[in-house]
Amino acid sequence: MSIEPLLQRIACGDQRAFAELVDAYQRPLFGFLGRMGMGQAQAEEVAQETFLRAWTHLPSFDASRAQFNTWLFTIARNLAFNVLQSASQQRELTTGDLPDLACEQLGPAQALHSAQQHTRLQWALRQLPMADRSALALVYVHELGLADVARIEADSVAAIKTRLHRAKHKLRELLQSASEPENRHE
Amino acid sequence: MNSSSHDHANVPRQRDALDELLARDWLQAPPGFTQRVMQRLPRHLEPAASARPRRARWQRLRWLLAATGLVGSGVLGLSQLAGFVFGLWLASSAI
Repeated sequence: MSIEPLLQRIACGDQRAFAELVDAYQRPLFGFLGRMGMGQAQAEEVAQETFLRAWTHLPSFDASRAQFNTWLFTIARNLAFNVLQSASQQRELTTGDLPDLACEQLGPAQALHSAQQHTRLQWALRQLPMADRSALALVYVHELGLADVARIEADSVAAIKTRLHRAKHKLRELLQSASEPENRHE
Repeated sequence: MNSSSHDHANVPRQRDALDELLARDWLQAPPGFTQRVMQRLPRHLEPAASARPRRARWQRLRWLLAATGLVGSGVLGLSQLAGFVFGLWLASSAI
């Protein structure tokens, strides 16, 4: 799906075109915010604010200087940083943070397992330094290449690769340590 | 959004369990999310839209003040010059 015709229609004040843009980007955006360690409510707030800022600042968006994907995810990343920094880092997860859809599509046992996996992943992600976490969260957005991630993070591709390696190594350790007591219990 | 070209660019081809875990969409947009965003749009733009006419009004007022000042000082300057010329004529006619 090409974004340029949509942007042209938005520039003419077509709100329906903007709705199409929201439809197109909400999935990768929520995926990114989930990998940032956010809960459902927090992610909704940040995603809404990201789209509102995009709408407000679209007249100043210069397609010759940046790709729209990069521009939108830069807004989302900065907002997520602000929200996560101001929120308590030690906040306990509640079931309200878990995705409703996963529970609807899976059986009860699978849903419980999925919810536990999500809780563990969220906990582990929150232990990572914010910069490593955002690089890791962005790299799994299909719409972004590694060069785009480097541009958003204002870093070199090599540095992003290093951060990713470090983040995944740490995440593996954390997830392993989180699942060990459970395995022992079983 | 050219998603297909980037699909496998960042994540290694041989995905492990962690890659699978991270690639999953743990959070999803709730139903009606787009409508909620669209409902917030006009309200969000109101301050920017109402600021524009105010700025234009202020700009017009500044132009008006500048023009009045220029005309006023011009008239004052001309009357000074006329007074000087009249004074010269008066002095020369007295001699």
